[in-house]
Amino acid sequence: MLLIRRLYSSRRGSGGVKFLPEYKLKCGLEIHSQLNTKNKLFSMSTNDPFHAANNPNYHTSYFDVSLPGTQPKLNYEAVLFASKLCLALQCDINLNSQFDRKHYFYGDQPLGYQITQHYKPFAKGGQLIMYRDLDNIDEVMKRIEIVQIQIEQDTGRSLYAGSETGTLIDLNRSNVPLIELVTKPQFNDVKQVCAFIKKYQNLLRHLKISTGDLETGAMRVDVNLSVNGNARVELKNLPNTSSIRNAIICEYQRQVDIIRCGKAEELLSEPQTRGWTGSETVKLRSKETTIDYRYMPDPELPKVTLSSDVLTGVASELPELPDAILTKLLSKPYSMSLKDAKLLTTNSSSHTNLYSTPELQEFYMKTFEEFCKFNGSIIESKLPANWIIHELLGNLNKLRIPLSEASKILDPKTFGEFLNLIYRKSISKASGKLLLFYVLNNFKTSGFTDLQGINFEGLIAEYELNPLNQVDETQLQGICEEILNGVDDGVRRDIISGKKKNAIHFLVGQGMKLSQGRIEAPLLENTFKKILGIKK
Amino acid sequence: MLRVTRASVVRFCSSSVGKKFESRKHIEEYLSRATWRIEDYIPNPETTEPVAEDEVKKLLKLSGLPEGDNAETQRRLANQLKFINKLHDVDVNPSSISEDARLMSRTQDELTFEQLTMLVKAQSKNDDLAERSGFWDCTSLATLKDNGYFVVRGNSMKNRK
Repeated sequence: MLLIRRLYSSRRGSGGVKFLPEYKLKCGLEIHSQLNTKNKLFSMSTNDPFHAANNPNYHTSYFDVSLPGTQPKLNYEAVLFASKLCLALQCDINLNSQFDRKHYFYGDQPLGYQITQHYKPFAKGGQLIMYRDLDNIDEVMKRIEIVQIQIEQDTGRSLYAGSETGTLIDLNRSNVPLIELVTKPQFNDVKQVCAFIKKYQNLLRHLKISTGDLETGAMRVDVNLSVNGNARVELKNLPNTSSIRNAIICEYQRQVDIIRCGKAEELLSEPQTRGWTGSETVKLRSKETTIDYRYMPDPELPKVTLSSDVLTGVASELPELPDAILTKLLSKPYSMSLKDAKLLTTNSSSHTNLYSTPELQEFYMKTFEEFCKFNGSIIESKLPANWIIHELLGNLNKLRIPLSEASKILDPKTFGEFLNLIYRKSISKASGKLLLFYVLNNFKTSGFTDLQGINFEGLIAEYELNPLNQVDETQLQGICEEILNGVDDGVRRDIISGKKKNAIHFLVGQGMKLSQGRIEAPLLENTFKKILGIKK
Repeated sequence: MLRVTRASVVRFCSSSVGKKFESRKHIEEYLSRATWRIEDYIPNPETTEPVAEDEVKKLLKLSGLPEGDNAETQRRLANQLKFINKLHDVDVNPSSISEDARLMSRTQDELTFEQLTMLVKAQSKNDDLAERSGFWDCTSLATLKDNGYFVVRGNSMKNRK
């Protein structure tokens, strides 16, 4: 009995699951992404289902609710967006694609069919390449080929809870444009799947054609999976990355268990569709209940016939792609760390951010350029990144100031000038941090209205923030001795003996605090070492 | 549709012009006069061979409809098929190509990049099609509704797709 239960259900995967070489996993993905066109796919009603979630059936034209007599009219913005994506993925765009009807009956699809592209999809071929260095996969490089990309309409939204009498239907989402991407079954590790989704999501956001958010349903992922060449199982209803990951692991383990028990022929010989409950995969459909979609060309829509100059035109307007930007940032003259470079190229969900990734990237690039102008050659290439990513963004988050506002007083030229003051040691790093916070906080207090240019030199003089490079040695020794007097003898002994070597940084910190950041850390450290008799 | 076809046949076969209509009443009388009989097109249920039961079961399944009185469905479907066959027998202009029997022309001129960009820029909403948000309350005509939502009876839809 126990054995039977194991065969029909599957367990949640533990963290470090091993994909066993004798049980080969093969996965393919089908990813639906809502295009953020202004209007819907076959009508000009507003495409904004996410923000209208509390206002059901608000963005609905006669066609969206399928009133008899209404006809579809293609929104070419969806074609433009699809072209951008297909070119970025190196697909072969079909200059003569067509829309077809896929029939199935469901409450949130009042037409009785979905308009999709079945016989002549928008594009075929193409690829997305992942790299170990950039995408955190185990292989040096992994190429995932794309079978096809098609444009289709979304359905309405069904709400099962909340009504005693039945299912609630909201058609704000009905007829929203979707892009469906189908990959070849070339994934053999869950890490590759997650990396692909992340990379594809970032590409959609980078091209500004979709929010790519899994949480809002703007992106939905179905996984096709098979083990050792058995029939494929389609996993549906996977709301986020962890569900996708866990569902793959569970389904893999379920199939491995079946194969180990010698039941593969009985249980894994026919395709199946399974859902995810959060802890196990459950059967939704098998061959007996497969739906015949009765595809037919849509007689109300002409073919989408494009001139080849559409390809060159769209290509000329494509932005530089994320991988190219990432590689550029990692190389000279920028020489950024991978972590920082990713921060400038990974487009996150845009609902709550104080800045967009392209905005930040542009700010960095321009600041870097301005900083270079002061110095001629790049000696400290990491200085702009450190100050923008860690200090400036830290302050913006703390003070809740959007980058676009901050740029009004701290444009790249001004920020480059500020960085130069630090580089030239006209101000210590510690004082620089204080000054940056002071400037931003003042601007916020003024309600972002005080747009007078910042005179850093003047502020440094006014608040006496200039570093004490020429500190009187006796005075410096006095400060250090004063600090050492307040320290426990044991700590002193441990620093001298080397037992707690790093404790000297604590002493330096005390010195910085006492001098309000005006004495440079190395100067303090050397003095402490001299007093304690530690060799440099 | 049938009326139009019949009317054109009359036009082709006869050159006579009818008597001038003299009042609205005359027009109404003319239009309300039957020119064809439903019986000509609907077959007699008594004599129609019903559609095979297996065939009906398959079609119901494909259409997502529940099985009920299959004998009745077999009979009704047969009548409907006979009617459709009659329609197919209507004589149409032989020069027309069946592929063009569409609501819209299948092919169109190639769209250039400039035209595509223009189409994207020129998007506008049409009130005649209710494309402006909030233009109408689309649930106002629904029998079942709940706080702005349409309601579909039962929860049987769950997990279908």
